[in-house]
Amino acid sequence: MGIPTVTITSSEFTGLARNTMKSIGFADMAFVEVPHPMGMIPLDEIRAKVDKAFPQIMKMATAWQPSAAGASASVPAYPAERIKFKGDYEALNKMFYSKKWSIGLPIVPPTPQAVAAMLKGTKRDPSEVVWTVPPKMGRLTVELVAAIGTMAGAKPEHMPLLLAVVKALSHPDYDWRGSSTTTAPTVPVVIISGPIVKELGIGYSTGAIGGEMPVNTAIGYFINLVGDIVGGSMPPDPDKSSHGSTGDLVALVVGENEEQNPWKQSYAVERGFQPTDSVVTSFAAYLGTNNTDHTSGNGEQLLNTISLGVAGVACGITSCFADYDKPYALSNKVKYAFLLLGPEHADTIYRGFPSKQAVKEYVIKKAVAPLWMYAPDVCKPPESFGEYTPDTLMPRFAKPESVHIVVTGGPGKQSQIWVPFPTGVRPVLVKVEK
Amino acid sequence: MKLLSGTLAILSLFAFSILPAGPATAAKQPEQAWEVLNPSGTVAIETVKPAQRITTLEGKTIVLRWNNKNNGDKVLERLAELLGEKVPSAKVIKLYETEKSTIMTSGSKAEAQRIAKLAKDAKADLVIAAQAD
Repeated sequence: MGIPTVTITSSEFTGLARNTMKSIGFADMAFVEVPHPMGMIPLDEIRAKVDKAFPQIMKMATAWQPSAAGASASVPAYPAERIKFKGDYEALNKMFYSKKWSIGLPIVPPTPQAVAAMLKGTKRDPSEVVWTVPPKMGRLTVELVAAIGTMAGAKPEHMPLLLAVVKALSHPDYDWRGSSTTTAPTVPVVIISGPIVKELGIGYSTGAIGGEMPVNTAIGYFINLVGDIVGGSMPPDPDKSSHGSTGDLVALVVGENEEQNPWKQSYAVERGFQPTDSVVTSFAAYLGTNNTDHTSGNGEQLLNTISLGVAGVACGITSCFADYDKPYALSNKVKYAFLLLGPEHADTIYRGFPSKQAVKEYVIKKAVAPLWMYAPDVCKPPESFGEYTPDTLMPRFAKPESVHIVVTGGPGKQSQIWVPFPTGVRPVLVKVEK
Repeated sequence: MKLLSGTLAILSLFAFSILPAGPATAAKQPEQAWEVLNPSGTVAIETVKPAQRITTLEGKTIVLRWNNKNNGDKVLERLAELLGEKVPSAKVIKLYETEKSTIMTSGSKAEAQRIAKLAKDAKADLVIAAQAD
């Protein structure tokens, strides 16, 4: 837009700011650093920090000039560089880790032969760039999808699925940049629906999100290899996740348990796809929570305890009356929830709620918390709500569209609740093209 | 060169740590000659020409942009006070008050462009943004 800027950053986040600057094409910008933290400190401390920084702000506003931009070398995205290396398997892994080509778990070596075998799983041109991955803006070609898929333990027949996952993650509604650089422990969530679940042996029953699910694990590992190696989002900069989570190593990948879905309609079909379509659904999530309810004897009782989880998960950042159809805003954060219902829980709910819509309408009424439990500023009831006090129960969501239902997992009285990173606009659904 | 099967490599997950200071190391394996692809991807960034800088704030329009991070607005409130004292001829616009939809971290390029356009529409000569956190 041609407007000069001065950006005030706290010292712990200047690195992320500079990284972002480079990734959008600037060689230099005017930054003024103030001592971290700025959030959650008293007003007098904030004012003192600004007073101290003011001379520098004035200087950067009027006397700063950007350094000359260096000409960027034009390096083709394809073919990927071939590296020769001597050493045993452990040494090869150490070399990969030292070059930031892996994330701390062993990899299957992406030899040219292995990558060529993977490429046989797709008709796509290996030179095609399928995603320029933020924040580093590395170009992910079909060849690199095959290489990184190899590293993660994927097989040639997984290539169409890997490419569909990439398409979903790269959609603007996902917000890969924000979710992969935030201080929050975000997890890429991928739900797979349709015939491909059984065709590829994707876990959808007992332990589906855990170990011993080689396809789920390979896809989940692939996602984080892409994000960290090609996207460059590694801690401490630009991945600022305060704690991180195991989701930074292996993303959550799970198949729908369609055969035990009492509503007889998969999530993908509910969203407009055909039962014969294989579909990837993805969103960036905050760490989910579990519902372990062995005693509720009917759907209402069970949805009551599930609603407690819906109201509480990602506490601190969630808004009341979050509106699925309105954009992210200060008072419209975390605007939907996925209920990953175990089949036994689904059956219990189904007996009282023969339609998913009825479940959604019930949950938005019951997923409530008193106003005083919401963080300051994020819960702004609409004027039509009327008078309220700090003890008034405020619903988390404004509309049933905020509740998304997936049946997955195996026997047991368990369900999970996952909610999105707030700048994620919608869950992204992509058909797997074979 | 030897191509390890995926199964062998996955089994190796449990055999040793690859971390540089890993405590457990398996028996030394035979040295091999490897050829592998560099998986990091080349970087594609189009260089952006920086905006022309200004040399004075006198008589200029200064737009303050808050991205919703906690206390960023309070940073800018104090800054507005100081600018009012030191450069009274400057016009200070708090974009977070005049365009409340800008109170957000721009999750997409389109959102970033929308916010930038609103600053331009406000005839900004300079934007000062508080990231905070």
